[in-house]
Amino acid sequence: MYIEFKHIYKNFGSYKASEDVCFALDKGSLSALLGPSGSGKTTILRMLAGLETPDSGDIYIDGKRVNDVPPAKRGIGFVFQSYALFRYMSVFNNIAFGMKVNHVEHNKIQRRVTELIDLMELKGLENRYPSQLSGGQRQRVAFARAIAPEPRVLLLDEPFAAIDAKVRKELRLWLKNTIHRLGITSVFVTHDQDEAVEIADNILIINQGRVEQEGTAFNVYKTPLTPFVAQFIGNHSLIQHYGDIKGFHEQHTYHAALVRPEFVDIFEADEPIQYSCTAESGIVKNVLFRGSNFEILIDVKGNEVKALWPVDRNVLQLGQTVKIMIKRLYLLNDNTVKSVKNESLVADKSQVI
Amino acid sequence: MKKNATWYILIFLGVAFIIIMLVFPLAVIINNAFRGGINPYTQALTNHFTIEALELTIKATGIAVVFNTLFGLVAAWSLTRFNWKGDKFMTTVIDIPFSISPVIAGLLFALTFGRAGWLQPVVQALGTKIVFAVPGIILATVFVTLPFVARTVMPVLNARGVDEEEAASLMGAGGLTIFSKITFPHIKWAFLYGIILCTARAMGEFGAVSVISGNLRGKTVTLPLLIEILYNDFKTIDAFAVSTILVILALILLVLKIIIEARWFKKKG
Amino acid sequence: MRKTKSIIPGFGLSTGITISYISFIILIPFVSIVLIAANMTWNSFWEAALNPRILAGYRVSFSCSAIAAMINCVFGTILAWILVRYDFPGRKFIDGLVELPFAIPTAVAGISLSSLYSDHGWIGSLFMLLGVKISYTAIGITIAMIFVTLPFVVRTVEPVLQHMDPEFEEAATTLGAGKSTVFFRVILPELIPSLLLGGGLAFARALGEYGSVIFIAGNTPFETEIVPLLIMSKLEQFNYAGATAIAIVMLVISFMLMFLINSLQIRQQKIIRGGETT
Repeated sequence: MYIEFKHIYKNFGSYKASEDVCFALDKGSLSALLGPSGSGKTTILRMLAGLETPDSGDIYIDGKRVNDVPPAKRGIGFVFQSYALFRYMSVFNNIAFGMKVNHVEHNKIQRRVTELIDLMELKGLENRYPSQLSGGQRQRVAFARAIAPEPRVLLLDEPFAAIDAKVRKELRLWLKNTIHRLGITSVFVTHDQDEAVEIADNILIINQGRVEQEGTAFNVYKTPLTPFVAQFIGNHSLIQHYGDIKGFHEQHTYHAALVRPEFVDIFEADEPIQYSCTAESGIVKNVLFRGSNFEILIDVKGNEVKALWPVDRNVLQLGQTVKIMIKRLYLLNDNTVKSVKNESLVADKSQVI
Repeated sequence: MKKNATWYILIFLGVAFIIIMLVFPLAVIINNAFRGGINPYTQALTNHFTIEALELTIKATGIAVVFNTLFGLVAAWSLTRFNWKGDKFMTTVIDIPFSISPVIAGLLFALTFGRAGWLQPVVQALGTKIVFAVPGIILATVFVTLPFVARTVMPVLNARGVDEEEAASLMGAGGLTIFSKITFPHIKWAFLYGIILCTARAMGEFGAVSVISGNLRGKTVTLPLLIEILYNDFKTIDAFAVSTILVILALILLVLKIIIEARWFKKKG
Repeated sequence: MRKTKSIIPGFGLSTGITISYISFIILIPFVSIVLIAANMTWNSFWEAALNPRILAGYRVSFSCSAIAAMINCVFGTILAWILVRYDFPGRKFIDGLVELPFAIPTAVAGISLSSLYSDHGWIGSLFMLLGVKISYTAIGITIAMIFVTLPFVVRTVEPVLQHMDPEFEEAATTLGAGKSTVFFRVILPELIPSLLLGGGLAFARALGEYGSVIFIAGNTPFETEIVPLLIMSKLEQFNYAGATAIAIVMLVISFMLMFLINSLQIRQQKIIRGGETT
């Protein structure tokens, strides 16, 4: 384990920023700290950097405890949300700063900075100042500056928060590929699920100062361990009295259920289907065109359920009656999540995810 | 906050600098004023030249503050609520008394209203004297303190824009109503701050009135001028005793200034 | 004039009063300078403005003002730093004390500094032991100028330090910089515009300063005469032309400084409000 947090607690006055945070990250991994605003994910990143000190607990990098090691000596590179490029230094000098400060030999600095400028596609901009660069260029300079001194850990705080939506997708791919190519153990903070899912090997879901779940994107999605994670990742609708739905019965302690659109099949009223006896009947409440499909909101026994409908079929109308088959529910109680298949399908040999 | 060596060194340097440069001079004033005991001190203060100088200082300060405050509000209104040809020029001109030496200010008035001045005929026609007389002292004081209220109030008004006043005008409110109910509440603290600065400066004005005054004791001597005369006559105790009057007034103004500043910034949030 | 009439009332009255007041009090007196200058020939003007004694006066005024401004830049930064970044007993008191030179009348400051640094004064006597005379020398002039202009740099640097984004320093720290490197390479460059403004204000004020300097200066021709004093002595001799010539030179310099300071002030406002500075 290259990076480890053991029972970290951090309070700011009476505000609990981190509560018993424990996790371990492999060398060379690219991990995301994902959570809503104010969940404490940036605090974790900053404690790892040494910019904040935990009230109790231990932080390890490469097997050594670093709680008492100042940020300057931890060997980390940090890319700030606002980039924090030094306004009075040129692009070249910004990138060279970390090496100059550590008295690296002049020629070596020259070579490495030039190499990074090529790698980051900043050629021709060496002598410009930060105010003369575009947002994307500034981000690349911030990135180059952080990795120039060859840090052993790279930390990024909401790297794409300041980027235009259009450019974001390209940059995400670029970041993922570049980090993998460099092989540095990296951790980044984001509140955007899509970003975490696309870039990270490993996601840690943070909520109210606690690590709710850790795992690959797929695992977190498929097997959420807590109600928060189940509702944070992916699209969902909540059902209060899930026992009313055909194929499911009320289970003790689980007071609500969560259904993902991917597990809902809709059929037009007169369409022949396999599950006619266990399909529910519902009324279309809303039809939303999403570009690649329709998102349909259906009223099923007083619950509003979201489902997907392809664009190449008859457009559904408001108020239309449809048949709806819920294939899987995630039952929620206060602390855990239980995934249950529709009982009528268990007997069936038909494949459900 | 880690209290390392740097912390101690910097605080030591800063505090030592302040004590040497500011506190010592204050201490010297008090020490020298009371060097002969309480009696010489009170005698210096109750001396009739002192009383007359105090009266003149208060008169000149009062008139300067009143006129420049009114001017400051009127000018702020004209320059920030409207756009007119030459408004930028006028705004820059308002700053002039601030940026030239007070001696040069005095020179300007001496040249204009003095015996050889080009406005001398006008002055004679009016039957007054300006140079070497009280009106000159008042005029010089008004000149050097002219910018203060305008300069503190104008930025606040400029930052706010004219929307509220225009809305009120559309609803039929008259000028004075708009000013008192809408404009003034926003500039209240800047206004008070400017008055304090204006008063402090007027009380202490020396260079310009030195030129104009002619130093006719009892007639055209303000407190600062009196202090100079006493000191040059080697009446050290008297000079410092009279100084304490101005120091006390200055400290009162300083405290008021700090209080107003605190209220002002609390309001800004 | 303007194309559309503003709906806000009071334009005519307020503008009329403003223009009249400014003209009477500021602009009309300036006419005198023009009239007197027009009556002088070029030769007599330059002779009056640039004769050796006056040149010595410029030298004394400019060098002492510059040194005073620079010393205040150094100590002003230290003061701004400890007032903004550190907490210590008496901080609020020191913060208030910084404004003292603005409140104290210049003549009062003048006699007290003169007394303090005289050969028998508290500080003056200490330096006499070291063989250094302060009163009646350029050193004394510089000290008086430091006193009078002390608040300027502190007050321009403080808000910039307060509003500075901590991320710049954090970035430098994560890159391995020690505290002094962070200060000199990252923080100080950010402070330079405000230092220039504060220093400029201090310099301009010190140049024109009269009351607090003349007592400690001794006013020895060629050595400790400052320009405002030279103007005053010309006036006492009723040499209006001579006084005006010197005044014109000083006015030209003052206006150039005023122009420079105004553009620095605009920059300062932008920094405090968080805009770009390069």
